[in-house]
Amino acid sequence: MLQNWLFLLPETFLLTFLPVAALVNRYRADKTPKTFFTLSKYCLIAAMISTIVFYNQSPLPKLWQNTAFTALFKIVIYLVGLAWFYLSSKWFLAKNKMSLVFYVYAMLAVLGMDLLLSAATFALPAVIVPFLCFLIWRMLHLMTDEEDVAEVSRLYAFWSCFFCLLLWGGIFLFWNQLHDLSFEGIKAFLSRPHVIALWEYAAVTLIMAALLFMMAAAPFHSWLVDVITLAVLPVGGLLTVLLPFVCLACLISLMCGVFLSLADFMQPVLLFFGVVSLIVGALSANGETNLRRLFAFSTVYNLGFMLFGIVSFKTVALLGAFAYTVIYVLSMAGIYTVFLGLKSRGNYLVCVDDIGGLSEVKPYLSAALLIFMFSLIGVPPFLGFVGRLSVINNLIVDERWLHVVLLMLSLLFMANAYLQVIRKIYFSPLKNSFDRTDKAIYICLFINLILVVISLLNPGYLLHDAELVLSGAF
Amino acid sequence: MNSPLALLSLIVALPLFGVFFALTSKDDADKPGRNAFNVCVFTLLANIVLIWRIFMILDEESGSLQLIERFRWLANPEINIMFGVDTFSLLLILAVHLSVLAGLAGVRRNIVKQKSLMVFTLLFLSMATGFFVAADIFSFYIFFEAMLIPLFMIVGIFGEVKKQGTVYRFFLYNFLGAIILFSAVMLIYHMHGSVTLEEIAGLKWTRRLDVYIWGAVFLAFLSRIPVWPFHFWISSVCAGLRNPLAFIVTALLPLTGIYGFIRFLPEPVPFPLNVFVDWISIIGIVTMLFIALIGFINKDSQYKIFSYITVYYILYLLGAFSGDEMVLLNIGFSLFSFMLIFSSLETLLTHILRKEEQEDIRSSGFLCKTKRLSFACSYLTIAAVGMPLSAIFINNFFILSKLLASNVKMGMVLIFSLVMVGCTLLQELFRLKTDNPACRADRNDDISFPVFAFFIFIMFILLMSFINPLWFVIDE
Repeated sequence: MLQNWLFLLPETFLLTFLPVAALVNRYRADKTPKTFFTLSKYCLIAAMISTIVFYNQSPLPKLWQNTAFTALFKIVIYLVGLAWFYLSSKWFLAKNKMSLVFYVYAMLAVLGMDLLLSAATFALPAVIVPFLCFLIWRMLHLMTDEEDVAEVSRLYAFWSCFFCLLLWGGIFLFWNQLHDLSFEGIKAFLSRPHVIALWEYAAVTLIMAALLFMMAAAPFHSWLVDVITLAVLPVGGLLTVLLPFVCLACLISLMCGVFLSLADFMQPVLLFFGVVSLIVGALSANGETNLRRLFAFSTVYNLGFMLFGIVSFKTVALLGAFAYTVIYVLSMAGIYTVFLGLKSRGNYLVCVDDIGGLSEVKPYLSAALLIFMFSLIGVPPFLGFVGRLSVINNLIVDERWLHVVLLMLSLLFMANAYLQVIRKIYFSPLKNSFDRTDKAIYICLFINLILVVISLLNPGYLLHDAELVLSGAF
Repeated sequence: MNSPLALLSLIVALPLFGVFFALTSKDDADKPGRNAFNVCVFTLLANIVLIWRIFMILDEESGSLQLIERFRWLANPEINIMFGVDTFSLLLILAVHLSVLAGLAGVRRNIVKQKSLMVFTLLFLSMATGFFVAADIFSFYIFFEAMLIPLFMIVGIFGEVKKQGTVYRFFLYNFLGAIILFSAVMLIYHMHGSVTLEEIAGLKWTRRLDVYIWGAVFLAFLSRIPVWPFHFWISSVCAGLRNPLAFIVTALLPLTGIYGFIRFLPEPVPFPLNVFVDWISIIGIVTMLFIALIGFINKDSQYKIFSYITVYYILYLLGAFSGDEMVLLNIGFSLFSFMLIFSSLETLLTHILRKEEQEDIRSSGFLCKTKRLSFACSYLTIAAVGMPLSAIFINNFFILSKLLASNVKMGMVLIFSLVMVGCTLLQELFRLKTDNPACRADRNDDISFPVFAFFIFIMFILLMSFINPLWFVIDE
């Protein structure tokens, strides 16, 4: 019985942050943003170690189940979270603002993502998805002095409530018919030979709609673009890097673990969202002059690419999508790290025009941005090529020629958007005086690039172990 | 034959090590980028020595790829990186190295962003070398696309092209070509797995796939060659470049297209392909004629060199379509001399143009006051027009005779274009050598002795290549 409680350690460590942070905030006089980062660091590291140790053990198997598959995704979340929390502390130091609220929300978000990944019943998403939506809504208001926040916040609140209602509607339909919300029970029900009823389609559609909204797949993408643009940089980075990754893992887990028997129905739906995300992402990014909006549309575009990766419901395809997503996470984390270094007279720069001639004064930041952007469009010899290759290879194996052509064309449009940024950085005269860049930013970029180089030289590190784990997803 | 010391990987990797050293080199206050320049030159020389060594262990008689090196890279999809060379590809690698070395001679006094220039040049060199040693379709494609990035950066930052939009549309256009090749490569992989370049010509597909795959391959390679309607971006970029190294690197791009045709094109050409070949031959010859005429009437010496390069590249393209083994070998020998000639001429002409712009010296009559420059320019121009001073003389004679034998009318237009473009260069030489009292150049405007010595070395190589194209190979 006691050992069951031990399996709760990862979640316990994440939750421990809240009371400890509250105590530190109450009693420690000389607290800085670094103090709360240090706390979150220890909690995340402890959670990660216990996740590795108990990677296939679950305290409440009926509610959530840990597997090698969930452990893999959780470890990536902890590592990326750790790096981003570290960089965020630099932002708070530079702005001279208290970081407690951000770290509390961020740690709660990590806990929510952690539970969402391991969910074994729809009861958990029914609680966690609205909770995550609420956290995002709160984080949007965090320390921002943008005028449009109220409007965006209202819209986001409306749409997130709407999609949460859809999610609850879908879950209610299952509960109404089966009186069972466990993934196993629903899977067994859907897999039995029968004519699929209209309510079953409706339930699956409602649940998937909510998940795609969380994922910000187009046409449900506008909230992500607005939130990333208006929220402070630490929040924007956290959402851009982690949210698509977690949602993809949940999508894979639901598609393969619950709705596999409805694959014929799900495929065109996912393809529709994939196509729309590709088109909207690639075309909208081209018209953007705001860096954060541009990369938010790039996120939407990459989500489309990931959706294309998983539509065939095969292990190989999942592996391709996983590789693509990890590469996306590395590249976006790198790009946001560079954003933290783009500062002029104490203000973080957001316009493409503001970074004109950056290469003259910040050659390493410029080079890093160049590498990550080329990686995102999959130009060899950068790591993104591996992701592009895996996804397109799976589409060719499935003989989806039209989709291959669409992906190739969208790549061209996306490349055009990135080239506009590169053109500004390298070919335009210097426009701004840039502030001194923190060494931590260079260190994080260096570590990121080392990971990229290692993965590039031997993609087996990235793919082989993941392959073993993902093969168990079905 | 397998490579004993992974020499091919070494010549690809060495410039990458050079990139690291160039990046970490210290900048002098009075000579910024000098150390990076020295690293670049040293890396190039070291690679040239390695290439020379590879020539010695290569079997010249063998027609297949040798010194095969294979690395397991990806398990799913299963992709191995494979390297291999033959005399033809190794000659091109050597020519690329010597051309870049000539370009470096033209930018040695540059102080603006010299370090970045050296870094991107070394990157380009590594990717270009990788492209020529690639022995399977994936390696070939990876380097085909990868070389675009350093090229784009060099042209964008250092090309001094006035319209920047042209530069990035040029990249997009080449990226489109690479994506088209990617789709063809993925299809080939889907049908036959990872195949070597030597196996491609013998692969059999359905008629529909034949049209698609070969059509994609043709489009991809043609996008690199300035044949109408694909000539626009490369001509607008080349004509605007004022940096000899940037010009040379850009002018090396069509070489990748021609090399691609030589490696991929099956013999005999199958049905859907021969229709493409006929059309491209006709379009190529018309382009050749027009570019030669435009070059003749254009007053910009940069454009004259561009027209010379274009006309010769199209000649090699038409030769590559013949598929004859002997023609291909002659193309290799001729390309070697051609690349040395155009890169050296470009460097020397840029020297004159720079003097004209910076010191307000009239360029007509410039060579009357500068003996070293005059000698080098005269030799190279005369060699360029096809006089017996380099391998171009005999090898082009052979290529032309084959093309004439296959189609007399086409051959006549081809010869006319070559004569026109030769006249274009001679016209420019005449202008530079005609004594002009308004020209204020003096001895100080001449090239320095070390640079002159380098060009004497290039001229020596050209002369020796006329006697025996592989004169430097010592059999072990």
